[in-house]
Amino acid sequence: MNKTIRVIPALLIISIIFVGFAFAGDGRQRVSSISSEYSDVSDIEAEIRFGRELAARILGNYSLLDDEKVNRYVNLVGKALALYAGRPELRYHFGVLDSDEINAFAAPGGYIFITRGALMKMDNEAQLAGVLAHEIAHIVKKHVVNELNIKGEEGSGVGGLAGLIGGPTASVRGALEQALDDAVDILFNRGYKVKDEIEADRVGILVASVAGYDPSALREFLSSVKSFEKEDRTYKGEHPIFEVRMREIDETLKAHGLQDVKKAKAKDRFYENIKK
Amino acid sequence: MIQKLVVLTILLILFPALSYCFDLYVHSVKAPLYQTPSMGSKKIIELKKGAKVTGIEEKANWYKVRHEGKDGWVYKLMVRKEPPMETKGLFDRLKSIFRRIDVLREKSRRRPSSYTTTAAARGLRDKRQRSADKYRLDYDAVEKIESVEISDTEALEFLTKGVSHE
Repeated sequence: MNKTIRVIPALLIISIIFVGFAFAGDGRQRVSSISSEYSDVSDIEAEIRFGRELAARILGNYSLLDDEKVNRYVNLVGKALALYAGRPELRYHFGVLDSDEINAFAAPGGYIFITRGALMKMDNEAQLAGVLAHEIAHIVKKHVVNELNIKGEEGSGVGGLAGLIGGPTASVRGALEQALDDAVDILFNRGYKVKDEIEADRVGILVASVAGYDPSALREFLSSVKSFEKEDRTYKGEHPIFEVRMREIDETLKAHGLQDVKKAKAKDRFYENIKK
Repeated sequence: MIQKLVVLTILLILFPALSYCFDLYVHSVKAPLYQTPSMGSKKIIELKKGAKVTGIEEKANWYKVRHEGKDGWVYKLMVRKEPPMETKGLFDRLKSIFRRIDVLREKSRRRPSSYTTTAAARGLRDKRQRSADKYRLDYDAVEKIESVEISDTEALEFLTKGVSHE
């Protein structure tokens, strides 16, 4: 009995110390604070359907490059990167747009486009991977989906099948049309929010790096074609976005110890597939 | 009394431990486990898609996890609290819906909406401009990019071949 009584204070002290350790330290958070970004199947279906409608509008505005070899190569690079991006529920599709513009687009649900002009300005596969990973990141982080509240049939007015087929519910159809207009405006005119672009840079760099590509390749490419980052249309009157992005990219590389890491550039393979 | 105190003490000890352990599942094809929360740090092991790990700490964009007796840091993007969703066949099922939608869309375009009909009867014009009318749509091109078939194995082999020899 006396032995048991002596043990209890000892156990209490241990428990207090343990609690102290469990909640000590910078950045530690309670488990309850871990949020879930998971969607249910109806949300994913709505996202894919919406993305497909948006992709049809992108492809109505640009022609697909008629070069099977280049298209397949871009798909191989993109699909390999997507395997590391953490949304295995999506199937990604990559298309090369036959345009001199230096640009790339991502539509929700896994539709990604890059222009011939952008490919021509690149110097290696790591730069292509950097740009594609940036676009994949917009999809993974659901930037358009969240901004326009695209959800399953119960969650928003734009997810229903009726909306996509011009069915009897005029209000649903109207909401869908409005959301698609807004999405086209984001992609073609006003651009993403600054914080979304920065997040896409950060996530894209890390995805490309884990896949084995040179993490500085996106930075190199943006430096070589300043106009690529949509400065004119994205941040008109807001921020000197190019400088902001470059600074944030440098911070990401530094924070993850990647600034001096040399990984694959795959220059030969890029020239073999794109520039020959 | 003493028994109650013992139980209470044990609960006090276990509660923080239990609350700080949580299950996570790998969603990317592979997820490196690093020694510190930095991609520049030493890689301990590489977790495979679907692997269940025990989360023990959270720091910014990283989870500290335990797997088969090894502790390390994994980037948050690559794991989630839920197992990877089985979506094999989801896109194929959607494709058949897309085809039905294409047919119905064509039909609905030929059929004036009730608003348009009523407005026309009143002598008004429908000033609303549908997105589908503002932008040219090319579903054939969408189908073309959807038709490119590349398996995960093929994509990984391609990646390994390109990045491993440098």
